[in-house]
Amino acid sequence: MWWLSKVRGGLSLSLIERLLPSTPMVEYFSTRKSFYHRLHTASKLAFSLSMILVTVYLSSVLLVALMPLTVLLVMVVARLPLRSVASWSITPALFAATLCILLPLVGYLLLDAVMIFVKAVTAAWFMFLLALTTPMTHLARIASKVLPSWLADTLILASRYFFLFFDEAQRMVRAMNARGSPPLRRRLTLVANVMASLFVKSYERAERVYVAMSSRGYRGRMPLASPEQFSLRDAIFITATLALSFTLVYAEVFLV
Amino acid sequence: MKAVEVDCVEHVYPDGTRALCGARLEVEEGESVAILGPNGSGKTTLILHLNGTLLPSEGAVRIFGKPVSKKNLDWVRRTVGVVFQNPDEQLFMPTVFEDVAFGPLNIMPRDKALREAESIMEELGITELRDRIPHFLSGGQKRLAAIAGVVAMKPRILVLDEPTIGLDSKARDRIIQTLSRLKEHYGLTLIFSTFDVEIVPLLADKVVVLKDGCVIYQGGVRGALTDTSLLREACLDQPPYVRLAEELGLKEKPLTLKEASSLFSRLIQTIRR
Ligand SMILES: Nc1ncnc2c1ncn2[C@@H]1O[C@H](COP(=O)(O)OP(=O)(O)O)[C@@H](O)[C@H]1O
Ligand SMILES: [Mg+2]
Repeated sequence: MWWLSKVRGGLSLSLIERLLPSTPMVEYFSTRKSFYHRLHTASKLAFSLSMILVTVYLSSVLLVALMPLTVLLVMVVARLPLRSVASWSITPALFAATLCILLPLVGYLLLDAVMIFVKAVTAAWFMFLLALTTPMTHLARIASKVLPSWLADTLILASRYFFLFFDEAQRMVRAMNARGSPPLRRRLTLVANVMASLFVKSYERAERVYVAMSSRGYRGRMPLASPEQFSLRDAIFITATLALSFTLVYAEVFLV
Repeated sequence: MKAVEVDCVEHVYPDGTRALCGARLEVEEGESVAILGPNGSGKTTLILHLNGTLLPSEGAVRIFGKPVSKKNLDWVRRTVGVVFQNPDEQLFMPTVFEDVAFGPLNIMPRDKALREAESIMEELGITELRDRIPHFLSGGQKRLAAIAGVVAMKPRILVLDEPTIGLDSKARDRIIQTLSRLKEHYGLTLIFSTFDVEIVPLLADKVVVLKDGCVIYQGGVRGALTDTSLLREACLDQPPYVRLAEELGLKEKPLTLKEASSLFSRLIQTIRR
């Protein structure tokens, strides 16, 4: 059991790091430049959401198989790290797999179970595509049009401080491991202590951050500077997205 | 006019630590003051009183004659810009440009605010950090970005807590140059804390020495940095050239490299003659 030995040997956060995209990674890739990165957030949001809807709707094997290929192709165009995406996919894939293994037991065909699995992973990939090509602030700007301001502001701050918290936790666990490897039970209580002291630290930091924000004029609404222009390119891209969605749905209904 | 008056301020933290005991301090408008003291002497506590982050347990802090209280915190924080020691507490937006523009966007029309942010970043030479994520900047870059965000609010008094701590010498020089340029350009009143005696003569007109929460000296830079017993009492180093001059038994005590080189070249010429 490789994962059990992992837990015993280090309770290592690096394992979690490998299986989940960490915020620094996400921010790093989302600020890179490619044709796809330069599109307006609304365009990328429209693409990911409509492709997920289409994926869910399709039922012909051939057409469903087309969807993961589509998202992989766009990821290549956007120069995303496919290997990292693959390892981040393990978590959603495991969730989907647990569910899909049960399906044949309750009377579903094996093929249907496989299709649901493929659809779930593809949907996760379309979300990765969005997250890895769009900076948090841009998503937050769209979110703040829909969400109440306290929630949007919390998201913006969380995107800044989550990974600081993550780094600190990692440093503390590393320091702990560097001074010997206590038995698992004791290790768990130590980790709980680490978390508690991190929360206290974050609370103190939050107070300072609040002073910094209010001295710079914060009155309950975070202004965002990042200017985004809706260009001809976006109009063309959205038209193409719609055309592709309709074609797929049309093919599903009339051709297959 | 007096920009800052700290009048007999006592501060007792909730756990009972008495971090300031009767601190007195006066800063004239346009002056540059170094708060000098070892770790734990109360520098941060004093600085956090200047913009009302902490309020005194006893005594009063006055900014341009007005006592700091809960009622005028908005005005106080607009007048006194504080750069905290830890830039991570100051850079709260996801990118550097977002952070610098945050303040201006809160107080002026959008176009003007964005231009303002651009021009401050240009002035501090950090335009290339525009879209960078604060988490991945170096210590010096973080410090400059934090200063930009505060200066963009156009405070009349700029306060910095240990602005050069933990920086390599190149980054330190850059911060010092930036601060003297900003002071010149905006006519700022500058207050900074440090235990690095070498940067004091480069930036300050006046020194306040803190020890265990008490002000034990307030006056000229030369007076403080050449007073061996004062420095020893406050657990501070002597500036290197002062120490050299003392070892050599010279009467004149140079504070900076410039002063030292002019002193020694004069000495060398006298010897040659
Ligand atoms: N939040 C706090 N609670 C209790 N004691 C504190 C707190 N912050 C600082 N102190 C204490 O107050 C004294 C002065 O600290 P500080 O102002 O941070 O000094 P400096 O900035 O010169 O290192 C120290 O003895 C320190 O331990
Ligand atoms: Mg301090």
